[in-house]
Formats: sequence, C-alpha cells, structure tokens
Amino acid sequence: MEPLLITEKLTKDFGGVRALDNLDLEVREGLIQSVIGPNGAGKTTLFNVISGVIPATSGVVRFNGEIITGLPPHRISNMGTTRTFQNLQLFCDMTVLENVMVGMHMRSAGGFFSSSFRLPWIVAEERRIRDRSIEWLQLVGLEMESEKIAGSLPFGRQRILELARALATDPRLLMLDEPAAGLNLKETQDLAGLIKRISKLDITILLVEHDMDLVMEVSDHVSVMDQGRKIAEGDPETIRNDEAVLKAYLGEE
Amino acid sequence: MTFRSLLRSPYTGFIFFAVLLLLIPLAVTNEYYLNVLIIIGINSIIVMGLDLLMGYTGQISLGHAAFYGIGAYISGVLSAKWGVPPLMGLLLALVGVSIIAFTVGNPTLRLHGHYLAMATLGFGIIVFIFFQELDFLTGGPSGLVGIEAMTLFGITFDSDRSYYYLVSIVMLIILLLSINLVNSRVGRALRAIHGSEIAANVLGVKISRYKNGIFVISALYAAVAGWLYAHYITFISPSSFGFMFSIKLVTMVVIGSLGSLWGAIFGAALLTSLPEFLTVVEDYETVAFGIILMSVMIFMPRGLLRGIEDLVIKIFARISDRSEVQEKINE
Repeated sequence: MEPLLITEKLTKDFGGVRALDNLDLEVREGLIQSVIGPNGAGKTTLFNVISGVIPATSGVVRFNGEIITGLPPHRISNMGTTRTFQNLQLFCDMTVLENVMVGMHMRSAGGFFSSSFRLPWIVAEERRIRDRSIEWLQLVGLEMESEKIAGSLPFGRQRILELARALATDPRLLMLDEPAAGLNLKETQDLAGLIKRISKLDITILLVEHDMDLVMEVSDHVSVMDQGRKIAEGDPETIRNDEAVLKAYLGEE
Repeated sequence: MTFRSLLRSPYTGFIFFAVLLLLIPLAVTNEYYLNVLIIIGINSIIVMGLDLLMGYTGQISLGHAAFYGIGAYISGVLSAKWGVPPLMGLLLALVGVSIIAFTVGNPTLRLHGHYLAMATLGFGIIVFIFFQELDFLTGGPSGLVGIEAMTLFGITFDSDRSYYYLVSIVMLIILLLSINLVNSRVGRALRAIHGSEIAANVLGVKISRYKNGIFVISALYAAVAGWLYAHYITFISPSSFGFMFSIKLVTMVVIGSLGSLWGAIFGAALLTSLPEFLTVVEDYETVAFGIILMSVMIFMPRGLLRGIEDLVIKIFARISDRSEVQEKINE
C-alpha cells in the first residue's frame, strides 16, 4: 500500500540557511509516526511546508497520491490533513465549544446568504455542528469547560483544546507540533493516552516532539532529523541505540 | 425551551429592542427628537456593518463614509436627474456598491493593520474627490438638490414619524440578519480570522473569501443607510461623506464595544446624540466631547457596553461578598 504522506527531495531555504535538505519521508496510514531531532533540525519547518503555511523551495509533498506542494493551507486541509501549533494558536476570545465548532468548518456548508437568513437547513446544520463538537470535547475530556472562554483555560487544557479543534476537521492525517511542550508529567501521560485513543479512530498521526519518553511510548515508527536531513529511521528500540542519533544529540566524542 | 436558555438566546434581546423601538414614538412627539432618532437609526446601520468588519473580523476600514456616500449619490442622482423611484434606486445602489466594494476589497484586504488603514483611507478620499468633481452629476461641492421623498409601494414617507418607522424597520431587519450571521458558521469563521488567521486557514477557512464577503456586506449596509439618508434629507453634499465621518464611524464602533452588535448601536446612539446634548455647554462643546471620549477609553477600554457589563458584574460580586460576610458575622 502506498504511504499516506510522502515527501520527495523536499528542500526549504531561508536565505542562506537550508532548513530542509532533500528530505525523503514516508508516513504510513494508521501508524503513529514521530519526527525527532535536536533544536534547529527543521522539524517545524517540515510541518509548515507540508501544511502549506510556507512554500517549499524545491521537491514535492504527496498526500494520498496527490501532489499538494504549492496549494494554499485551506485546500490542503480539505484533502484531509490538519495540524496543531507549537506556540498555541487558539481563538482566545471564543468559547471552548466555539473553537471546536470552527474545526467543523469544512464539514459544513452555510454561506453568507443562507446564514444571514437562517434558512431551515442552516438550523439543522448548526445543531449537527454543535452536537458533533460536543462529542469531540467529550473524547478529549473538555466537555465540562465547553462554555468557558478559550483564553481563560490553563495552558495544558489549551493544548488539549487545540487538539480537539484539529480533530473536528475529521482528518485522515493529524500533525501534532510538540503537543507536550509546557505540559507537566501528569498532563504528558494523559496526552500519551489521548494520542493512542485518537490513533484507534483510524487517524494517522505525525508527531514532532522533544519529550523522548512520550515519543518512545506512543510511536510505531520514528524518523530522526538533523540539519534538515533524515539521519535515521526505525522503530523506537532501534532509534534508541542508533549511533548517528546519539551523535546528533550528544555531539562528537 | 427553558427560561434560562430563552434568556441567553440572542433573539430575546432583539424582540425587546424591537418592541422598544416601535413604542418610542408614542412617548416622543417632538419632531426634533424624532429627527435625531432617525439619524441614530441610519448611523447604527453603518456602524453594525463596520463592526462586523472591525470587531468581528478584525479588519479596519477608514473609508466607510465613501460607501455611505456612494449609496446616497447613486439613488439620489437617479432620483433627482431622471426621476427613478427610490426602490429601483436602492437596487441599483446595492449593485453598484457591491461591485465597487468587491473591486476595492479584493486587493486591499490582503494588507494588514496600518497598511489596510492607509489603503481604505485613500479609497475614501478618492471617492470624496469624485463627489466634488463630477459636478454635472453630483452638483459638486454645493450639493445635489431635488431628490424625491421616499415613496415605497405607493406609500410616501414624508413625515418624521413615518420616516422613523421606516428607518426602524430597515434597521431591525439588518440587525436580525446580522445576529443570524454572527451566530453561524460564517460568523465563527470571521471571528476565527480575527483570532488567528493561520489557525483558521489550516482548519479549512478560505481567508480571502470571508474577508471579501464581510467587506462587501458592510459596504452594502452603508449603502442602505446612504439611501435612507438621501431620501430623508432630500439634499446631499460631499461634506457628509468625508474622511471625518469615516473616523466618526470607527469611533462609534470602538466606543460602543468592538465585536458586539448591541455595542455598535449603543455607540452610534451615543456619538450621534451627544453633540446635541452638549449644546448646553455652548462654546466648550468640542472640548466636552473630547473629554467624554477620552474618559470612556481610559476607564472602559473595552468600550461602553462591555465596560458597563463589567461594572454590573463587579457590583453584584461585591454585594454577594458583603452578604456572605454578614452571614458569617451572624453565625
């Protein structure tokens, strides 16, 4: 079976700095795959290029067999992949529930005209959006806070909310950019459980993360990046003992 | 439906407001007050549209007086020069303004912050010059006379009282449409763009579509207001649609409370009527006006509506605190 996401010779230059260097990566459907690497390895750039937030310098990204490089972010999301952000990008003035309801945007159709006149099908659609959004909140355990303003939640809960909002787009591939950053031990453990539960919903997960315990616990497959290149790949056990990886993290002896 | 959810429904407030608006003429018979109320109604239509753009979507426009003017002039010129009936004039004004708004909005809404402010400011000034210089159509700086009074479906609205009802009904319709819009998928997308464009985008919101859409809608609101104004005063001149009025509209949105339709109406009512009340201090009118605006922004930076909301909550909290203390003492 062809991988769900493929990058071929993906390259991104920022001026003279090569953030991604002919990167070949494959993400197989149904797995939890992690990308790790030291700071500045190009992990977040990888996410930004795949999600269309910044353009690639050269190379292609294929999603589900189709080339998505060069498409605007909303088109890429429409094909069935979305992401979260390392530095949270919540809609802070909206309620928790409304944040998730925005996630349902692609799964609904109300336009300016039909919404202004609140046509009968809009009323039905609104109810569907609300009910489904509450289900997503229940899945992540935020349903008790649904009417709170998103910006008032504690940091850890905001991370979870961003995850719920991304899930509401009903993605085939979910890209999580350092979801454990800023979380305490307990919250990180809860997150690991949540990621596994999401994976069981037939959602493929691509995870960029610094927290090695989390990566080793949840991943089926790990790719290691350093200076824009992939330097190793394999199951967590292999990676743990890989020479090149140790060298990249700890430096030369 | 429970009492609680009825209370929280945005439509409850609408119904109370509608009843209030339609009852006001029973209490207010003074023609001058009715006249002020009519202008408040017209202004609040523009301000609601501008609030959808600024407060909800987070995009500034310093050129909205231009759309107000274009709406007024299209219907006004057609009426004064060729005797086109107002309803037809409204339709043509709406078509004209939506084309202009789309053409202007499409490139300018790619700009952000100060740059967008400058671009819309420039647009407003260009349109103002057109009003002045196309004098064979607009009558130039001295204005356009001979606009016919409002006649719709055979009814002529020539008294202040009848015009008050017309403006109120149009305003209520627009308010209802706006309430529907902000509580919908589209409204959430607009607020999402305000919160984080990049996050909205990766959730599948096509940013340009929503920015352009709301820009056109807010321009259309302004055009409707311009139409009501032209056929009420029956005389229009460029000075009503200049840069200063654009600024005044923005002030109304901000003073009222950004991102609240009720705030928009409140802001329009306050800033339209305040100069009328301030005539009691005669020469110091402008000074008093400025001081009031400054104090509102210093003491209620979230605008009057939210400021008062916060104040009420604070007072209630204090009262309940005090009664708790009292209970403890009693124990």
